[in-house]
Amino acid sequence: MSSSWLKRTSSSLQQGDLLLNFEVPIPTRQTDQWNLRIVSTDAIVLTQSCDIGKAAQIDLLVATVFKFSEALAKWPQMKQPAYRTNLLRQQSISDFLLPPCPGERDDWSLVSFRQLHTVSKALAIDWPRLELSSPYREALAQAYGRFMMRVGLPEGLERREAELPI
Amino acid sequence: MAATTGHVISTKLVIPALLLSGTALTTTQSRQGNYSDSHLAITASSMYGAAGELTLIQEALRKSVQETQMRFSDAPPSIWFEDDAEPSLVDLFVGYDTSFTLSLEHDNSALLNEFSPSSDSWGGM
Repeated sequence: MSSSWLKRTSSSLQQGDLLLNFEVPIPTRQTDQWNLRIVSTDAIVLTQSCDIGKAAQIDLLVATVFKFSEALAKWPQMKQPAYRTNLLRQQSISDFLLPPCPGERDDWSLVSFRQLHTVSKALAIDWPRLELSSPYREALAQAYGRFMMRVGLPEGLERREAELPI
Repeated sequence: MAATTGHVISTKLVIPALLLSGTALTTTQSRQGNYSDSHLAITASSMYGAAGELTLIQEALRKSVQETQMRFSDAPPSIWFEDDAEPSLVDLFVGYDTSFTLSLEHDNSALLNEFSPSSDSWGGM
């Protein structure tokens, strides 16, 4: 049941919290000109909950969250059955799907592990947000962990199947 | 200046004006030196008394001119987005010798343009 995934937060800031319309600073540089963009976007916290409580943890790692309908309008290839199946089975490597939160967030959401930002913890602590329930919170952490730890081999063993003793 | 953290404001330009003002040590209205003046005035008063031995105070101030730089927090001013006014770039980046622009985007459409859905899946690994 989708309502059990996301809910209005009732605890302190933790991993898996969805910051609503958060203000993310994005610095870029072109030749001698710096540009600081402050972008309003939903973002989900990836920093470990146990680290968030530490005073030394002054920044948070967050991932951009898109409304699925808006992403779908922009990228028609997301309609492909294989892509949708991967998302629904949580088998996509770089994207993580979140269901709607009735009464709070009507749209499906898409977390992109390829669009990460570091933001101020002090700013995030009191920001309006929803929280991802357990064990979906841990599933998000696991998906991000797998995204980061994966290793691509230059050559697999599939071609040597015939050599494998029967 | 190639500062990467904090906003460094030198007091060098402020203190000479103080030295000329004498008894104005505790009442200066200089905006630029407001914090510096108060800090130094309190120090001078506590060390030398309200009547003041101006020579000693001057000496203390001269020493402060040579040694004092104050570092302010990186935190942006709290007034940042409380209204639609453009943030003051001077206030935000005072002391930085660089050129920059600041923009505010009210949605993540630009991020969505940079996003690209991937067909990579664990099933295909």
